Amino acid sequence: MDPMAINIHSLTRDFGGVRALDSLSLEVPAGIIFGFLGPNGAGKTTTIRMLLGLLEPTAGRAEVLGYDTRTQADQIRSQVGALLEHNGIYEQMSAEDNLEFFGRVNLIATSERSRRIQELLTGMGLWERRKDLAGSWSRGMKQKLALARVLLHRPRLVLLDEPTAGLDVQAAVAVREHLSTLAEREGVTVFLTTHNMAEAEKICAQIAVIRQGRLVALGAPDELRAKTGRSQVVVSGRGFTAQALNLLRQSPEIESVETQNHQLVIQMHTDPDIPALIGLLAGERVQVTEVRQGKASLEETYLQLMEEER
Amino acid sequence: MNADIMTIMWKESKGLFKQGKSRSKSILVLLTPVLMFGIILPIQFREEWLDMGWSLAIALFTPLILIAPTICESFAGERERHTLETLLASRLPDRAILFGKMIVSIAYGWGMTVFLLLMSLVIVNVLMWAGKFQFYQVNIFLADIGLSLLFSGLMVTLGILISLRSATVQSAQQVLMMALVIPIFGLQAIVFLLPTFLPMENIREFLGRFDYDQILLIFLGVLLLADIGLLLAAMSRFKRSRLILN
Repeated sequence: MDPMAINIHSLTRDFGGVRALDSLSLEVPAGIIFGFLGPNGAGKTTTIRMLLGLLEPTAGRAEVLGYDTRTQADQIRSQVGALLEHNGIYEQMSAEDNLEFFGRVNLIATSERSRRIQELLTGMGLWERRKDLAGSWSRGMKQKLALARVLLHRPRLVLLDEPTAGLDVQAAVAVREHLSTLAEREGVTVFLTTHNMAEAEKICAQIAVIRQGRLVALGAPDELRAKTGRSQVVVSGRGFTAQALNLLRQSPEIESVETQNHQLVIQMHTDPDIPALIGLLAGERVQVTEVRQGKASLEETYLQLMEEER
Repeated sequence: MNADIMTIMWKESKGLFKQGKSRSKSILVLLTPVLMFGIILPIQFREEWLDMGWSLAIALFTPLILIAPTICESFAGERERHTLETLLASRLPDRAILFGKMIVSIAYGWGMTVFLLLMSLVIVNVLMWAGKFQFYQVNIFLADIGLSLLFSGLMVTLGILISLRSATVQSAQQVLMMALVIPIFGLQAIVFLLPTFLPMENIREFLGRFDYDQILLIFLGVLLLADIGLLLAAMSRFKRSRLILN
């Protein structure tokens, strides 16, 4: 088996005079959850469409599960599950009929189809309402049904375009847990786009960030956060005077200082010298109760990457 | 390919009576030709219904009434409800999606036409029972069957081409009706204006060379050519790469 589920080589796509994807090169290892991040219009959906062979590249090439997207798109679509921008649920059909239809589409044998539909709907907590018209369901339930549809034929790779967008917290957690289980227990590769940085940080083993069709960062979440070179110190306490803050800002190791919810958030250029910081604050009569040191969050890293590219 | 076409047909038949969000609206659309062509007109025309060619109205108007909403729902509706892209992302071949949808719409329009021809036949026989069962004149019945099949094909293929260029079901239905009505008015205008440009004796003499059956055959031939042309255009237009870009 190819250790890479997806290989993208200098993939480029133009729409008229607009370059939606610009020489994107990526490798997605099999069996992991891979986050594909970027602002609206960055080229995420275009990439997914090209990986499914729905759009032809202007230049470059891509292989999905070892198949070329230009010449072997049929094989790709039969072995991949895709949840696109819209959930694709037939709202005038029951949940069971929706899965029955896609089971037939994927040529699953009748007995296996019924068993698999029951297994997935039960797993998603939807079995009792399988006869309801899907259109009468909440958004979260529809999204879970769409996920069940994606997994129906046991794909080796699933492509998910913002799978938790618009879901309430509980539904989003359920979807995330399901995706983690898929990757960990069944070895399914999950390629997902999301705007939710906390989600990406929590479940993705690797992340690629694109902007204006170009790759701007690639790596594990920890590596990406480390790449920004910024450490963060959060100080809890009382007496954060303007004078104390100004004194901190004069320090060359400190990039920025701000108060958030009665806490002092200090962004560092280098690794912080915590005793020196506490000493400086104590000298300004600040009552320090707690000091936490860490790297910038993925969200901050992402925002910094976006700013650097401007 | 055949299994894929059957799969699409299974899905389409599930949604046949649930066009838009209203099942009652779909049933109302279905009842209109049933009442008009299956009951009211046969009662009015009685035996003339079987041998004067009035039944040709069924062959033309039943597909018109039933197929226009069905085919637009099937194609423009799939796009409007954002289910088309998911369907295209599946392993189904383009042709299987196209033919599966086409077959269900044609079968619905044509099947209902045949059903109404038989229903009106029973009504006339019940009303005018003369000791033996009366049937349509054979040439008229064959014309009904052929005309309704070819006209259903025309409606479906034209409906597909229009739906693929329409953002909504409503706009597709409007354009489709216009595309069918404008040629009829155009034909009427030509017939009305023709005597001012050409001597009527020559036209009568020309048309007099053909009998009723020959004119019907010519008309069916023209419809068949139009069906083939539109089918080829629909097959060329219904391709993943083109559909995704729209």
